[in-house]
Amino acid sequence: MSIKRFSLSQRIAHFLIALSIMSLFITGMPLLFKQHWLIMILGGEKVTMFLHRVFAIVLMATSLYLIIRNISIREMIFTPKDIKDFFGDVSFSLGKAEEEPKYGKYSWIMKASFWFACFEILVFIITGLILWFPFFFTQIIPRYNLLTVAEIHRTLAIMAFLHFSAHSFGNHLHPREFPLNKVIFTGEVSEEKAKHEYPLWYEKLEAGEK
Amino acid sequence: MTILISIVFFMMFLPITILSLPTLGDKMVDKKESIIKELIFLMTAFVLVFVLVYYLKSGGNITFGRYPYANYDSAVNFHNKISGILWVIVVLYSIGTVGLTLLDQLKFNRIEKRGEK
Repeated sequence: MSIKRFSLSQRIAHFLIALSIMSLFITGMPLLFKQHWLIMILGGEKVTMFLHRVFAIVLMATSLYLIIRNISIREMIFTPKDIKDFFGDVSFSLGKAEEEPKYGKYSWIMKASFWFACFEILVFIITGLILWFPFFFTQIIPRYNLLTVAEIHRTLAIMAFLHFSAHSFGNHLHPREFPLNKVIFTGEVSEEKAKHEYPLWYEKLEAGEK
Repeated sequence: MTILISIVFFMMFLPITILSLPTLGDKMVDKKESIIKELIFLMTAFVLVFVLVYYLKSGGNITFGRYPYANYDSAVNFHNKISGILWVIVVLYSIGTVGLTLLDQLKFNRIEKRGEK
């Protein structure tokens, strides 16, 4: 038996964010590292920049969708239990505790990853818009700050790439899930997996059914 | 042309909104509230997309290092300071990311070993 874990809107929003982020990496990284051969493959500098902006629009619209619909945001708020779980996980992993912490629907690392992604997207949007419309924004901020804004944008891109890699490893390439964790595509998780990985959520669901 | 591209973008989000109307996360919500939120999203998204698509070709060139700078030296000094701080953050963040991934792996190994017993 399977249990519903993600709604359709959550899955589509995740898909669009993943698609736009990956495309932004592909179109942004050649510009960041001045890889002209890659820029040529993508159709030249103008086309690469055009595509970068197109996917930025997709990312912005999806983020707006998440905010207005308030998807996942309430469920992702940190609680004191998450801090306790973090220390519990460290103790268990280092062999100092016998039992691992029991998670609810989302673990502390999922929440941390979610909020960090929100922070990244927010800074990307702000710095990206400044770089997109420099003549408008230099009426508000000093012109020489554009160099710093560009630096923030590209450094954050490297951090976002690290985040993306860790997220992909933890959810798809990890021996527990390899080769693919299908839950974000199907929205359903097996009862066995839910019982084992999210026991408090499973207990809550079971109590609700009775 | 701008309107046409905006409509194409807009249409991308339309199926999501139609399909996702009955549910929000795991909880059923007030349908009237849901429809109002949906309308707000669609209108805001359309305005956002229209404005951005309008500037898609006419915006500034994001390729770094091509802006005119009035105080180039002070700009570079300020940039270098911020850049240094950012790289420290990147290094710390990398250590944190690798650390958390290893921690997860250790946890997985312990659970596996316990299962074998």
